[in-house]
Amino acid sequence: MVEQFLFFLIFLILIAAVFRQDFAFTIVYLFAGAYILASWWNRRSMGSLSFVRKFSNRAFLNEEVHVRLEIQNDSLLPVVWLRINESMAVELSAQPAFRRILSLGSHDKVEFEYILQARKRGFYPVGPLVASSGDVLGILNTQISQFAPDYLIVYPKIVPLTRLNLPSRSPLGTLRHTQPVFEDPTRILSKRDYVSGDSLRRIDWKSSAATGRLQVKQYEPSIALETAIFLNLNTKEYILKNRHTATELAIVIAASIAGWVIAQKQSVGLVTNGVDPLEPINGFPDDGDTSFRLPLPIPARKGRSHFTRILELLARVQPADTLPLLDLLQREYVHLPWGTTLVIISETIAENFFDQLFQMRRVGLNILLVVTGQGKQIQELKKQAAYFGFPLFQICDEKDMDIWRR
Amino acid sequence: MNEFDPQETEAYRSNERLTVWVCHLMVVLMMACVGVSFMQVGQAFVLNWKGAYLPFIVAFISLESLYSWRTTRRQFDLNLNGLIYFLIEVVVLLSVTKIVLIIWNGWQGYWPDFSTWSVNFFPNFFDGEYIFVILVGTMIWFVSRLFAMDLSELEGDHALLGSDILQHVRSDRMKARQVMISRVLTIGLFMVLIASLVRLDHEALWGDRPAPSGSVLNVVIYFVLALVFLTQTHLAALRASWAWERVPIRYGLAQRWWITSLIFLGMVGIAAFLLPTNYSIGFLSSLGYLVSLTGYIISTMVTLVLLPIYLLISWLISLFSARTADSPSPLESMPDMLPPPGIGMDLSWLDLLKSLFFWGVFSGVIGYAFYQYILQNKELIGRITELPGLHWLVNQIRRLLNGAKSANQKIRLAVHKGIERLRDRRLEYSSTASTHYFSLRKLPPREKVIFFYLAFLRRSKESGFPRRPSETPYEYAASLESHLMSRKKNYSLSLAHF
Repeated sequence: MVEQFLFFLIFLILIAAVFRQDFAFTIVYLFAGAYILASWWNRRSMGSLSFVRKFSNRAFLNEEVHVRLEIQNDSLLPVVWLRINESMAVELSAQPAFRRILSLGSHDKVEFEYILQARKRGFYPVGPLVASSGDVLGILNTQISQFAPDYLIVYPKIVPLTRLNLPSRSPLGTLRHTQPVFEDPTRILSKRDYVSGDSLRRIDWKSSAATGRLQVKQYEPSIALETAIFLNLNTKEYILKNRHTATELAIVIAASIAGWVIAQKQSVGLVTNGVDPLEPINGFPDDGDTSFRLPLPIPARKGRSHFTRILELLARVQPADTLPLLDLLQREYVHLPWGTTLVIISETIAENFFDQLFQMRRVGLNILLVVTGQGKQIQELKKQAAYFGFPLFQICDEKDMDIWRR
Repeated sequence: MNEFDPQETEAYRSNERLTVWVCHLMVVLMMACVGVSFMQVGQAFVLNWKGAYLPFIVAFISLESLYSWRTTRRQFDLNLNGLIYFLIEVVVLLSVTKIVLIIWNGWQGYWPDFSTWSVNFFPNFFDGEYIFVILVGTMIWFVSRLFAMDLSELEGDHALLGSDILQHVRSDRMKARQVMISRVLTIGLFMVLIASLVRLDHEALWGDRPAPSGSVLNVVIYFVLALVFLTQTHLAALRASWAWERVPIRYGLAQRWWITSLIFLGMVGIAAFLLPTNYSIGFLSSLGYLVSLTGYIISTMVTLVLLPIYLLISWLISLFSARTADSPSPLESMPDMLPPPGIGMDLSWLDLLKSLFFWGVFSGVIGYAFYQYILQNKELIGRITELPGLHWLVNQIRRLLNGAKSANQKIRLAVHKGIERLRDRRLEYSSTASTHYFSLRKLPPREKVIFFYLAFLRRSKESGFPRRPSETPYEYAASLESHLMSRKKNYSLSLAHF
């Protein structure tokens, strides 16, 4: 089109020159003015656009997220046409993008709303928003601006558990226990008559005075449960065939166990060798390998906010070819306090792994194994775990978690 | 086929509708500007020519051309063959143009010409001014038709929205746009050329007195309108790509687009018109000198190349013409001057018949053309009559027609009643006297005798000799004989009746 205009202007000037008619310059001014004004307008109107994206950036599975887009023209000049293209993750929407063609007057504001379906746990970008506009004549190139994306975290599924007997050797907790060795002097269960051999410290003098007989306090045994969940997301340790479902199931198990522990008002931590997109490329400094975006271990803490932190990490984390589970355990178990319960979640466990677990138990850690794999190998594992005295649960799908719900 | 939200489809339709309207309006206005240029040409040739009607006629013709293209595209709406519709269209346009000319120039001036149309139609009907207007109108009609054809390429968003990749729906809007840009610019150059020639003519007449700047206002307006038109074609091209990708668009996009374009380009146009251009004369003179020098060099080279060929051809012609030069052709005798058809001359009955035949055919053709044109464009006529200004007029005409219709019905009723009355009387008469005819030759002799006897009695009664009822035929014959003897003259008269 520009070529046509140029040819036209050349012919125009030639006619003007042949006939010595200066009025042709009025037409030249018109075309030049239109071109200059169109390019200035185009650049200016695009520069004065502002976008605001409003939405709840955290969602539970199968929740609907309403995203509100506000586009404002802060200039006096209208934006005659504007195409917006808001990218969306395929896991959140059936359409690849939210697209609209609009027109904005001076200081005009337009609002749009679209809905995302949180169908899969993850950490998703919402956007970026790409805006393109151009001049009304179509003689200039389209101006394109890109606006930064926001992120949406979709938490993993949490299966509510009712009975999860996690082994623990931490005394003086809040959880009841059956072994008298964990008696808690702050939790008086009952009183009985004194018998020979009872400690004088246990005598309840007030009730002895009231009854006229020596009474001793009976304490309720209790334990504290400090749990550290080790989630294996190293893809090399998963069978390719069901890698995706097995890793996702492992994440669901980790989230459910963490939820249960938090519900029991106990502390829980999380260590994983998956990849966190929000982490800087750091890896382990002593390893010298900086190619991993490994998340920092979350130390064991109590409370809902801490649970949210764990869920966010579980939402973001992705399986990858990273550090093997054994290496992760060797590096991390030294930082755990005595009596901590280790819940190790993986598809399968190597034979040499039990030696390491045995060492860990000797330093006072409790081990619980959860495997998501199937086949003969798991039967062998069960035998070995029984031999070493480690409880092992085989959870192949979410239904298998019913054993913790009865 | 992918489903698209009906509301979004309607938004596309709404925007498309407005774009189509604006594009057509721009074409009509641009053509009106071209009409102004032609008017200037006409005024340059014929001083004091009142051609101010030309832009309006041109606009009307352009509008008609655009509309009729849309009508003829919908063949199923037409009850006629396309060619016949075209002929009807031509007749209607020619008639409307002539009517406008007659009204504009004053019908009193044309009144004497009407009688000459029947004598020598073509030279008297198609006068110089009319032919000029027809030529301009034809040109505008075809250019508008070309625009209409290209503009139709810019429609059909709905088809694109409803299409699938496998359906091979294609849109060639970019190509149509390119063609229209070229056409618009070419017409613009043509207008610039006309304006330059007109200004040169003005300078030749008035010397150093500069031509009024208003003489090129139509050219500037044309280009402003052309740019607005191109913005709309750009929107149409963009809409095609959006529809193809099924991107929803907002209502009112086209409205803001064209209003903004008009304001923005109008402002640029005003600024360009007001800016001085005088200082560029030196530049133009230098450039003009260069151009003329280049032209001179080229023409010299062409002359040098063609000179031997020209000489060769002239030598060959001279060889052939030498033979024929000896016998000069005799001068053709001048044809006898035909007496001009005098105004108010006494017409013979044959001339009267010819005149009646001509006017009958003339008014019949025009009437049929208008009738069919209205019939084929009922929707348009309906819409036009709904316009506020015309609504009152149409109501008055309708009332007048209704009055005429009711009067006609009354007259018809009265005539019908009269006919009925006459028929009744005739029936009454036929019941009393049978008036059936029969052939005497076919009657048997006895019936013949009875017939003649009765005829004789009737004639005698009419002649004043009736038979009394008491008389027998013999008595009556005797009395009649005695009467006839006394009035011999009357008797012979009565015999003559037999």
